[in-house]
Amino acid sequence: MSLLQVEHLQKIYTTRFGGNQVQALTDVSFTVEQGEYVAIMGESGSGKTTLLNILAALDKPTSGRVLLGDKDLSAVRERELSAFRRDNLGFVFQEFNLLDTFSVRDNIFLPLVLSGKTPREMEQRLEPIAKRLEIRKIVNKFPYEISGGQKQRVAVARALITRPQLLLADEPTGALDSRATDSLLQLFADINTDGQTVLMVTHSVKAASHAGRVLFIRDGQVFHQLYRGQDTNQLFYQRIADTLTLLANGGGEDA
Amino acid sequence: MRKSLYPRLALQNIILNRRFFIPYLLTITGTSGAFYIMFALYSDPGARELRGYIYVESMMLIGMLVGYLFSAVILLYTNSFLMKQRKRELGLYNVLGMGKGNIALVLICELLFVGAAGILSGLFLGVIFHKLATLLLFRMLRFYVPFGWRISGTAMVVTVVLFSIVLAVTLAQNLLRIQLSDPIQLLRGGHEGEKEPRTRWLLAILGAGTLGTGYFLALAAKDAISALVTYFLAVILVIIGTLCLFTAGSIFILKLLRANKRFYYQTSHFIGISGMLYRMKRNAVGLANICILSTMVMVMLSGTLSLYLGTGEIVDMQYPADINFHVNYYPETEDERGRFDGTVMMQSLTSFFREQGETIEAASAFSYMSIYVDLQADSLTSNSLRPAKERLDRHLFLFTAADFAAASGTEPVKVGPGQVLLCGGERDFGPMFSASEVTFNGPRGSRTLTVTGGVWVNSLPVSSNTAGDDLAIGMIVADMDEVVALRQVLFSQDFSSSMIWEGRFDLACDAARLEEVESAFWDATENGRFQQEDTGDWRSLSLTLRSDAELDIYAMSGGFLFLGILLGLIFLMATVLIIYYKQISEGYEDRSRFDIMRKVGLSRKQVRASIRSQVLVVFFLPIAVAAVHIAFDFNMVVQLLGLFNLRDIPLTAVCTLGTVLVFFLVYGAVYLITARTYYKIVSDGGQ
Repeated sequence: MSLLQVEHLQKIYTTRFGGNQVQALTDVSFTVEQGEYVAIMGESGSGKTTLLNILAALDKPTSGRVLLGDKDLSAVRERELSAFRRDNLGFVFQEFNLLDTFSVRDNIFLPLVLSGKTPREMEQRLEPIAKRLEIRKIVNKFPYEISGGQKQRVAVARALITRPQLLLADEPTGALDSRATDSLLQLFADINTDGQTVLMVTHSVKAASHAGRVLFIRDGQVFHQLYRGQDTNQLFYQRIADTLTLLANGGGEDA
Repeated sequence: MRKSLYPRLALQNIILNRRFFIPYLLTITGTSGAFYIMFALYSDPGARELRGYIYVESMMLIGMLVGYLFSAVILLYTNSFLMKQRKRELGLYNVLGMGKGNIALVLICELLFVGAAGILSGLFLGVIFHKLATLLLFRMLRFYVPFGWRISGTAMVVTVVLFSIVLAVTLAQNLLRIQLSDPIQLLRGGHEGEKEPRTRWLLAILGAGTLGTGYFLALAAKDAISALVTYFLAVILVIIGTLCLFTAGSIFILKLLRANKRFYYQTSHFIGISGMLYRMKRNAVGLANICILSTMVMVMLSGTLSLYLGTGEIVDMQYPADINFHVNYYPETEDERGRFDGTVMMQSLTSFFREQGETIEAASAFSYMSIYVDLQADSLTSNSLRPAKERLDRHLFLFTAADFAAASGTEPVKVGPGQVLLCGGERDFGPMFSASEVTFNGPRGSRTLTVTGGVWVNSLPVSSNTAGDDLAIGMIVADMDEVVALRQVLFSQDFSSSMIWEGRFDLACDAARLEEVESAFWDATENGRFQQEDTGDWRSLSLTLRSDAELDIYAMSGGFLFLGILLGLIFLMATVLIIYYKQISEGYEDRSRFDIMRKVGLSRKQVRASIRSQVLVVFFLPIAVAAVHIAFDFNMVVQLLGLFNLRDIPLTAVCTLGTVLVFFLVYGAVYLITARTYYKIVSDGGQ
């Protein structure tokens, strides 16, 4: 069975005073298997963010459903939602979203603290992750004392420490320079190799070229998808770029 | 740009920033309204003729000065807060192409609108509440005079001018601020990361030191005069101590809490402690200010309230009877008319009242002398032998056995020649309590008497009007000759200090009739009655009606209470304002934090719980410390009230507790309101 099943998602926003309706998602269906690394690409306004918010249980679809494992997200009750999100999903954001008020260690601990874990267990979980992400030296610093690349590693650590079924990343390389980008993408590939399922939303071709599969979204629909197969990153990059060119030119429905 | 753009833009800004502008406007309204009332009361031409109103006048003058200066400070504070919150907005205008001149015009328009609205509504409320304040004041002063409602033009003009000056200063400050800043800085405004504060040991030690010294001074005050001398020093020390301890101590405590992992890693503590630690540098001063202001409000109200409620007692003590006579005389007189004889005076007064057709319900008379002495184990020394600054050790009242019996209404005690009885509170005598004889030392030698016992009473039966006299002790000797013998030792020369004779009469008539009797009495003295020829040699004779004294004393204590209430309200307003602004500015800061935390999996319930714990600490820490301040200050207040001859500790305690309780309730209400606003702002972010 697939880890994530997205079935006929539709999302319509109504402006505040009734009137205009905006269709953000028309009909989106796809599945993600356990251990997969999927990138979702699309231009601004294509519905990427709406999709991600629904997958993250931050927003509810107008129709359709999302199954994580065998659990229907819309069936999770409101008061259990936070705990569900905490235990099953990990998030990495473009703007890092680290809290200046916490040290790096406490930022990573945040979801565990919310779940009521003991300090000892938190330390035990942190140790291997900090080692893996090479952030052991900075755990006692504060976010404003470290670089952007380090911040994003800390954010990844925070996402992984709950051992989520699915890691959701929203433009994780958007605020990073090229070196930090390379290193972060390598990290994503590595943790995926370790068995972590990753779903990343991006419009960076480079970021997408590290994934095992790329979904293209346009006008609220899954328009196309590419599998890496045996391609190198280089080759896959080229194919993704070509597809995007085609999309941009309003190219054929059957590309 | 078209001219009408500026006013429109200004109006729009005010509406958009109403969360900040409304409290600012209310501050202007409240302070200018209070000022108008005080000035109107101060300059009331009709009231000036009332007995005792002079007290009110001078108190209103003090109130106006303090109130005005304080209003200026809080208006400047609110303004700077307002501008800090709007940095981004102003930066955006600049980036969008408005020159600094244009922005200045917008700011001027805004200030004109807010200032005009604030002062006008202040005057409006002032005029309305002036009536109410007059009624309240006159009730407190016991002025039963019907009073018209007048609008004071002078007060209006003065209020408008003075508050316009304050607003002009704030405007100048704002204009200077935009002149000095570049747009990038303005745009970034308020979003710079703040380093975690270090524990500042020096500051913590300084704080503990000053606070401790302040507390010590407060507790060490043994009498009214020393309390008066050290009061302001103690207040300043406590203020410094509070500021230092909130700044350094709070960080120390929070770090301590953070170090306790079991405590720290719980959702609400985790978020609350880190949040407070993060902004404690700025927070601490605000909290300390809230604490200091709360203390001031409570001290002012509890002090003036107990003074007011104790006025009846003060009057009873100083003027126990309807008509109180005081005669000063010298028993060692060499006048041919002889030594003053109180019984003769009593007889002629009694027959005078009878002639007036009045029934005497009660009458008593007695005399005594008083002197300041330095008390040792078995001797006492006249204070004229010692440097002036060391004086005021003990206030000794000396009675003959017969006078003491008349004064206290008891059977005469037995005191033989060469003997003395101690009289007063047992503890007031210190080591002398167990002495077998007492030597009286003075500039003209010494004299020793045998102690044959003691008469222990809570207070001496004299209507002392000497200020701050809570170290009074009494001694009873055989007769007037013994008194004269002691006087010849204790004083450097004859006639350097008179004795006091008190005659008290309660008549069965009303207050109006008493006044007639009083003037009849003075007429009689003009016609040669009660003179030295009959009564023996005296130096001065005075008469005080209790009803008159009551009016004077109520005018004073009522004026104090009224002033305490007005200033208390202004201070309270400042406290509420600081709390409110703190809450909303922090709300905006915390909004993004809580937004992030919600994405990571913080539920609404947890948001609410952690906000509650954080806000609770921030709120109740200052008032808890203020309560401790009040507890230490209590002794000082009690001593200072002694200046007004009020020594009713239970009354002062009840007033203090009541004030603290009411203040806590008001504070709690403010807490509920601002906590709601804060929560609304924070949870808006997640939508």
